Amino acid sequence: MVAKYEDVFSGIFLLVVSVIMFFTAYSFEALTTSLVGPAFMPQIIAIVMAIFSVVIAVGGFRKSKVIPEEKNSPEQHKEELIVTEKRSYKPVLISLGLMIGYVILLPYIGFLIMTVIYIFLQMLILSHITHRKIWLFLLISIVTSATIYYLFRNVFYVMLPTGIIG
Amino acid sequence: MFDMLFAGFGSVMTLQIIMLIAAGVALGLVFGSIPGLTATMAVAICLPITYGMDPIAGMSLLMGLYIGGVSGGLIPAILLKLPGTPSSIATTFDGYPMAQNGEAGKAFNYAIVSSFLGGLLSIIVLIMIAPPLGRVALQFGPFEFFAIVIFSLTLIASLSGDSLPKGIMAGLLGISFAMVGAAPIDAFPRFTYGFTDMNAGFNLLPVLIGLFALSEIFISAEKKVKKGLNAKLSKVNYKVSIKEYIAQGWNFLRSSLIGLGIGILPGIGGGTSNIIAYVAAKSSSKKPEEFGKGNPAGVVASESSNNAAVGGALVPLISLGIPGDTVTAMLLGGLVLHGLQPGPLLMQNSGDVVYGIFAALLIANVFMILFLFMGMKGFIRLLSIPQHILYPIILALCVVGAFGVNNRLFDVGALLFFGVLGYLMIKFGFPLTPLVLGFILGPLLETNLRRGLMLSQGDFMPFLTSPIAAAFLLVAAASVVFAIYSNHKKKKGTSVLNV
Repeated sequence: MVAKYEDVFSGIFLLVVSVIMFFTAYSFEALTTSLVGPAFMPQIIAIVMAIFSVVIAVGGFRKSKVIPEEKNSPEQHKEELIVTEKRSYKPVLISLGLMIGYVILLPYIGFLIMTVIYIFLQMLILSHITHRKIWLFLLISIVTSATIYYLFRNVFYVMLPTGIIG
Repeated sequence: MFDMLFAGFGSVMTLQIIMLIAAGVALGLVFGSIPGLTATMAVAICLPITYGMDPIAGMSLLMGLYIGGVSGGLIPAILLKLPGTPSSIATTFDGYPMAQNGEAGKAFNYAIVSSFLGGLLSIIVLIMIAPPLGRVALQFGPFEFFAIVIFSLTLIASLSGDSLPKGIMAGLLGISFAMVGAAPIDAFPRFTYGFTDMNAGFNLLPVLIGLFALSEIFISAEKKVKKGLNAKLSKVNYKVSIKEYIAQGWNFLRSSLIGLGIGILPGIGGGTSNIIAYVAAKSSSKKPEEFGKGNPAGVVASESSNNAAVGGALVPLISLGIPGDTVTAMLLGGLVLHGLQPGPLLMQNSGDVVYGIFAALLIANVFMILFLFMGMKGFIRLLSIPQHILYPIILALCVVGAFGVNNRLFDVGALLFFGVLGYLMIKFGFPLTPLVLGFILGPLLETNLRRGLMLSQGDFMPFLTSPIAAAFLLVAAASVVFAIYSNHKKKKGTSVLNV
């Protein structure tokens, strides 16, 4: 369903983006007396983007008409494979949530602890149930986090957030 | 020229830098050989390590990674029919059948030697043509530069990806993201929507790492792999006679030149060149029916062209400051990080670094052939490390890299944003390379346009009357027409790259 109309969706979304871009650029003030101010390029780009988003959306709409249910285009074919191989978007969303949590808590809890937690949980999410070796994962996440932390702080001088310890 | 090159060798011939190059090649080979990890990722992760180094040392490490990353893909391509990187797709066509026929060692020999020679040839060409090209480019004013950037952008948009409108759209998106923050010339803050964090705009590194490394992690989260890769190589017989090498001479030369030419064109590199070189080898062969069944010529064509693309891609980066592919885009980020200004002035202001880069490339190429012949068993063993262990570690390193640019968490947020964007773009069938190149070239485009218009007092005509600018704009227009034509043809089912 989504695969069938993917170009229509992305085209319409990009059209909205280009319209917002075009009108935001109206508020840019020219600080030089030059003919072409800071609003010129954004507006040109926004117009060209709008044209191509319509091209993409219309093309996608036509494609969805030509191949109503039959799966013969390469994209459709790929989608079919995905279903049989049981692709799921749930782990993607969980991973994203985990990454956001990791980044938000990083300055408060600190790199060392948060990275252990992140790597461990992310390994659990990515691995198949038959491959979950809890102790191995825990060991890898602790060793990795500690190595990165000390290497970057003391050898490469990247001041990673210390948080509650340090 | 030679005295500069000797000086370059002089500056990299320290124990520390030689070790860095060797480590870079080894790590690059590991990243290249594990499917799902790429040379782009290897460079992305190692950039933060170079923050504290001096420019020559840092760039030497990155050159090692580049050479190793492009070359490592041949291992799984021959053993498992899985290209380790897009650069080795065509290697699977004949390399895998050769391995099935019990000639894995022979296939490795052909692949490794042609990688080495293809790389060597392209580095020599790079050393010969980049400096004079840079000197010519010094004469360019804003009109010429504007035209060259337009030319590069149209090439990228039309050559990468399957759909022309989507390629162009990705390029436009890249230009748009580059507009966030202070405008060129008058520094008016644009598209910040009141967030002061956005005033400085998006840094190149989080954009690159997010698009190319993070998006892969999201893709891998979709599907859980039950079985790890299992490659075995019991007895290796590398033996290939001199006569057999000489028989591949012409094929090697043609493929290397294809790789070199494609590498020089902005936006496409080893990923495209190996397939085109393979098709060329097949169609000019007297026995095309033997291709795909284990013909060494297929392996030679693919592997010599993808390594030749390395030197080619560095030509526009060093002489013009325009990256030729995604890895060179990352290298451009590395140059900026070390306070070097990419562009025609690079050669003049930091000639020592440029010749250091040349010397590092030559040394890295030698390490590559040594490591591949001596350490093959080890690299094969590494193939079995599962992705669910590698990817979380890579993400942690990406976060360190993004954070380390400015010690700001905003950059880490940008990393996540571009990771999600990259994932969505892959899902909706948009190519990523035009976005990156648009992001890098957009500011150049606008600066030169506005500078040119200030110079001509608002007159657009000099953009067309300058002969060099007009020539580039003409070629740009021609490439768009050609892309529309081939796009149209492809829709009818006769793809240009039909293998």
